[in-house]
Amino acid sequence: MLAAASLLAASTARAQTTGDVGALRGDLLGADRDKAVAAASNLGALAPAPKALQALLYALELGLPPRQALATLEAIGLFKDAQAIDLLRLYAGHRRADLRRAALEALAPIADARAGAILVEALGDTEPTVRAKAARLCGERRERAAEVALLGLLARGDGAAAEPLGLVAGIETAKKLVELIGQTDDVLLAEALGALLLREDFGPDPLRVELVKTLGKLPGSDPVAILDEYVKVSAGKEKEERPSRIEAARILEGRKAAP
Amino acid sequence: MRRSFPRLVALIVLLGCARMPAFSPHRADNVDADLAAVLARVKAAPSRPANAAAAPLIFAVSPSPDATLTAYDLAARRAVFSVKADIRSRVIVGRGAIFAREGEREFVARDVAAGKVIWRHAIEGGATFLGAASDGDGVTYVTEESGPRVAGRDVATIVGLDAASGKRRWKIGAHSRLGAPAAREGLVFVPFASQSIAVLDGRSGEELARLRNEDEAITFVLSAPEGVFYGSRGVFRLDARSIGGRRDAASYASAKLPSDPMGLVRGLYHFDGYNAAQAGYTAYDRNRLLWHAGKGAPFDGPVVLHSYRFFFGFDPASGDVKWAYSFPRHDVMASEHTGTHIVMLSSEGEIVALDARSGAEAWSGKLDGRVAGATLDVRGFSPPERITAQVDLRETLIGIVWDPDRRFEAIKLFCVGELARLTHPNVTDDLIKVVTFEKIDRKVYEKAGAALLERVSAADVPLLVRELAIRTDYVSGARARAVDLLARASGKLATTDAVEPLLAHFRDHETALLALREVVKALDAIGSKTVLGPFREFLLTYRTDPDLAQEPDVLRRVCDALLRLGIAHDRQLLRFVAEDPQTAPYLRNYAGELLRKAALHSSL
Repeated sequence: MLAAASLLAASTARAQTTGDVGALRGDLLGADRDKAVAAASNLGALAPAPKALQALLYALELGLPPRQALATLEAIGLFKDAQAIDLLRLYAGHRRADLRRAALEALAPIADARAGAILVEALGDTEPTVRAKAARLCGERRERAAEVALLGLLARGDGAAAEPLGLVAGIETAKKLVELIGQTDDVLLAEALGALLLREDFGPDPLRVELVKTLGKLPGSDPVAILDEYVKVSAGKEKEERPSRIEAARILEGRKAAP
Repeated sequence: MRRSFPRLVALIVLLGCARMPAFSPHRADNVDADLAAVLARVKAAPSRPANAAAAPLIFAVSPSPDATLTAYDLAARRAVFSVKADIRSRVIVGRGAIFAREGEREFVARDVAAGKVIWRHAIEGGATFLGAASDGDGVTYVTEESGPRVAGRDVATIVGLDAASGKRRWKIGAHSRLGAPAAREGLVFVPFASQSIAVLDGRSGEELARLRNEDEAITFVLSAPEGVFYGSRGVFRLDARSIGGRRDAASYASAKLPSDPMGLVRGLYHFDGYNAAQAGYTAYDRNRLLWHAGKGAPFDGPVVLHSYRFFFGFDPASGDVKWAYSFPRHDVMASEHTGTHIVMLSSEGEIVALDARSGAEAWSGKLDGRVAGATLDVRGFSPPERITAQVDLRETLIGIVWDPDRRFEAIKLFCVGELARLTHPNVTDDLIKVVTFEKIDRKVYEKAGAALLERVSAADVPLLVRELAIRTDYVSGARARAVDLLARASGKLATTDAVEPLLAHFRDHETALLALREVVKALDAIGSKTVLGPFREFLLTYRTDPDLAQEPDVLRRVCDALLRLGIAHDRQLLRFVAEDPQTAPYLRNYAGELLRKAALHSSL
């Protein structure tokens, strides 16, 4: 009996380390929760092996207790595979916030518009941690479709939206941001404008000048730090110095000279 | 000449009464001749204010400290006077003077035209002041001893004064309780020993008649131009029939009050003359019935319920609410029925007159300063015709339900009940708007929800679908509300039009568990097979989730629907759920039992 148990343990350990997908799938669906979590992790380590992904998707589709489901979602994220989108969509709408966050995290690296759409939808989640996760991931993905929703969140004072909005905003949104001065939290506005200004792909420069001027009007140390950084990173970018950089330097001089 | 024995006894009693002191326990009551003599002195009077100038006046007392008494003339739209005065009772209006208890122990007469003190009188009798009345010529007040009763000592005292000089005409002690008096034409009517009225001569204090009622307490006597009225739960008119001493024998009426399970509507027809608190301005002034006696009918036009900021005119015969009025923002501290209008005065001095039959605003004005209480001497006041747009009862009721003032739950519940009774086709939509209102109180939500479920019909399906289409979204601020009720209504109607929006809520994690249970029930009741896919997916996803065990009916109902509506594949799914050890135990047991019963049923 003892020998049989030892043999089973050895076999399990081997499956966990050698990539025996069938055995790992069995473990993932088994009643031993620790072993199931380890199996999910090991299946994830086999990415991009299709069989490993299938095993994870199959287990998740059958329904797993929350802890195993969480580990499985994390593992699926490692595959960055569009095959997982439908199931991840289901979990992005799960009643448990931790599973929703994990599903969004797994969706974010998938280069597919459907994944982006799910992330944008999650910006409307009433759970702040899910919204924050979605906002961050939208920013990282440079998800342009998130612009309107992120701007809406910023207007509602949701701090998690500020930097991501700066990362995805286009010209029109940038103009709207400038108009938000006095209507939304100064710190959040500075954060969004800063992220926008520091983007290499953002322009043209006359619009940067507007952003710089708006930052110059905002109180506190954050706008100064952002302008300072902008002056540093934009140095020598073009043959002729950018007017926006000149304006930023002028504002900095004025702010530093002020008592 | 032979006299019959009973006539002889009556004569002896009558002769005896003439010599008896007032409030004697030996005095005969309900004596025809006594009542006839009293009635002969009570003349019908024109409906007009009591003051000599017949000007519609409001006497408003401001809050302490530094309380002032302000007189305001509605007809002239101006303050007549404003004087500092420590008023501690209602202001009683005579012909040329007004009277009130001032400070601890003074009864003071002031000039109606200027508010100047005419005389001061040290209050006699007990420490508790119960009220006063004036017929113009005299003024009478009643006090009561405070503390425990002592056998043989007076319980109450009534004092008659000359209204012009303040000189005492008489003072009488009573061994039984007396209530706040009423006065007219040299007569004083005093509630006595809870069930009687003693009628005194205003000049001498002699008791002229006594009426006793057998089946209803008498807590008030009220003198109005239309006559003298008394009662408690209803209103007796003083006339020859009063001799009967019972409701069915007298000229008696009580309004049929609107249906009101919360006890908001209390049949308070006048101040309780035995209640010392009501001798001053209290919450009673903001919670009472306003009525006007007709010549033939017991009530002329609607009886009006005043409850803080709200007024409801209702048919006294049916109890049906005819109109409602919501005073904006401030409590109404005093109100009076003029015969044609309801005049009200708010805590901020705003004055409004409503047409008593329609509830439409007919007049408005304002006196300076804040108001703690007021006496409205406005009988007969009928402002020049300036009726604003007719008030829509439905809209007013909804407005009251949506009122942000959270003190008025009982009134809101009352309004929901009245709204539900209306036959207007838009009421279902109104009830939907009530239950989906953001700041709705729980009890109001439940009552409106129950009314909605009772009322909803197939014609309302588009309304339900419209409302169910709203989904919660933090960015836009949209919030799905009353999903549980809307789902129950959809399930009741078994409308397939609601399946898609219900499924959207079914899948939505924002749907609360309790609402989710109702959504599943509704989808199960509707019985559309389009639910099979989402139900299968949901069952697998949540079969292991401990959170769903808090509302086990959700997944149980899903299992029921899959078995009933599904195909063989769904039985396999249920078998898997029943056998897999990962499934939550409650659900495993349920699915297993369900399959066993189904197998048994099919074998039969």
